[in-house]
Amino acid sequence: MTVHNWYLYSPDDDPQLRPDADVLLVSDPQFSNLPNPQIQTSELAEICNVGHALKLEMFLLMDQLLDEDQLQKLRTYLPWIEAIGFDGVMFADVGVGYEILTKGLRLKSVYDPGDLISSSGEAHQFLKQGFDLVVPSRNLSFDQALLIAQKHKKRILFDLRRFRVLAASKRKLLSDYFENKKIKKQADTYWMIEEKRKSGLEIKESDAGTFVVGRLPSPEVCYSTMRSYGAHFLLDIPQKGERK
Amino acid sequence: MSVELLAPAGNLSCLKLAVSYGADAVYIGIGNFSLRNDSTGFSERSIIAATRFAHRAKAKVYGAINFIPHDSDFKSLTNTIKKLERLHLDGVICASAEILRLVKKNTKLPVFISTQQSVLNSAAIAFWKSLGADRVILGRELSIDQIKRLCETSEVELECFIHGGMCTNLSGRCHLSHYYTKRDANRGYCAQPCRWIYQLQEENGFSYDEIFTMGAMDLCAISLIPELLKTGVSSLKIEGRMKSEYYIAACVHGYRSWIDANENQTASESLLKEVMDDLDSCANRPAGTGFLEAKEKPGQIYPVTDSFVNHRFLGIVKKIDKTRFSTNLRNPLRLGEEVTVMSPKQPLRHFIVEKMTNAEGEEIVECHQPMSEVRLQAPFVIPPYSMIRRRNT
Repeated sequence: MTVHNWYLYSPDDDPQLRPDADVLLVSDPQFSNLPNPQIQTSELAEICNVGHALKLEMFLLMDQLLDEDQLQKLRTYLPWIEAIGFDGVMFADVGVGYEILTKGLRLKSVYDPGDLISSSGEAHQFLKQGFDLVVPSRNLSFDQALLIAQKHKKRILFDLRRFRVLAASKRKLLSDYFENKKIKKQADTYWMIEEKRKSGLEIKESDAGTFVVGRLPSPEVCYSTMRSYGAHFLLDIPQKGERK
Repeated sequence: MSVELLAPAGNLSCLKLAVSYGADAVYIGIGNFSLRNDSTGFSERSIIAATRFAHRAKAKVYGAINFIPHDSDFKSLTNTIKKLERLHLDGVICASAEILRLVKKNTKLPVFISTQQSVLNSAAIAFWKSLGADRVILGRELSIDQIKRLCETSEVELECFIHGGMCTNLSGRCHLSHYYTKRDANRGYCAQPCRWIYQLQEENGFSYDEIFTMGAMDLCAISLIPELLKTGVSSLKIEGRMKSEYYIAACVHGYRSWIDANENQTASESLLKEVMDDLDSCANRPAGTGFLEAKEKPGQIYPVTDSFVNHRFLGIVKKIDKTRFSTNLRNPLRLGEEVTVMSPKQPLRHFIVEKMTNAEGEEIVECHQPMSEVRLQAPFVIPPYSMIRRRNT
């Protein structure tokens, strides 16, 4: 793979804000933790075609951890994803990657298990199995991240987004809370304010569970240094007026 | 083949209790490479003593190297791994593909993939098998039916949790501790912010008075043992390497009794009540069956103002002379109170304290001083490693 800059796709985004995009990552309506409500499964083929027309590679984000029933659904879904033209899948469940590798699919595979890849040796084990890219932990120092990029040129994707899912639970924590307190649940998104701190974290509930979203410091990654080793980057869409 | 009852041990004393009370296997932390970095841990010498003790009782000892390593860890980690076999361990638990490779390269020990990898499906199990794993410890987000389905197709052993503290969020994927405290949960320093107190606020700023917490209820699957025994799972695991000697002994005692009774078809309501008494006596948080019963909600805890403890642990017996024994009291005791005696692989027994003497041999009516030595007499023979407790009044 020679592409470098990845962005999470939203139908609302102005493509002019990401002129340097090489890949668009589309939250899969069925297998991502927080799917974009504006993206339906029936629209994926068209989204993929539009992306290809703009000379972008198109990947699907499937960051749920799947139980066996979901795995069975995925087994018929993945060939369809390939048939409609998607180039690859970014996933958090190693079982998804195993399905891609062992079922003769041509989809490229990007393994992102959160903080579980924190060394070059760990990255190597998954790349050796056949995954195309891996995403190292966001919790690494510059030296730690640099070593991984140096040893695995062109096969590392650094997630540099500011806001991300800090915790994912299969429990419906908000629904349970409101039911237990006999309060009517008004929305699917709230803020949770820790008693000793003023700032809060967004907490959302979807069919897949409960997710806490917040801002972690970006990994200590120097874009130009890592880029020289062929690293890929998942970036935020810049806000209007914001310099890149 | 009988299912393995696997218990935790944070130190040698806990291991001896776990084995004596009937655990088929015990897991311990290795050096600074496990996820319980505050436990007193095991030195090489104590690991050798532990494995010797366990093997004499035909029990196994597994070493946990289940932290997520950085490149800088591997020099000392590799040296440690090379020594594992001469410590006579029976297996290694890890959460890293690279550590799996190193253990396989340097030892003949079986390797178990930690619940930190949150394995929930057959493809993920197959992946770890392809890397050489011998057992996979399943994620906690599975029902009994789902566990049974996985056991039917798995080519490696499967293990599941049955008791103890549970993560609210998917194991290994939670950044909350790092966000709030810069403490890395994947290296044994989780600050457990899921159990802190929060206020919930709508996007328009409206706040709810009732406090919000994400903390999960503890898991207690004792009532589901009959179903779990039919799943084909190889090992039933109790969480708690940081837990006390009493907790470990009481949990193992309860689960051992109930598993054996179900396997031998001697289970009864009265035995279940006694077993529940064991587990209640060491509980400090509400417990439920988690995800195991698909129809039930996994459950959260809500901060409780009242104490949840309904028993008081009194002490571990020592200086036994048939029916007479000493103990260093952990809680107050007075004449006339009923004491429960928990002994390895025996039913619970009770007696009323009719006579109590202090370390000087003087008869006393009550004792309030923590860790004071008292001598008591029971109407029955007291085996080694017995513990005593009493109900809260």
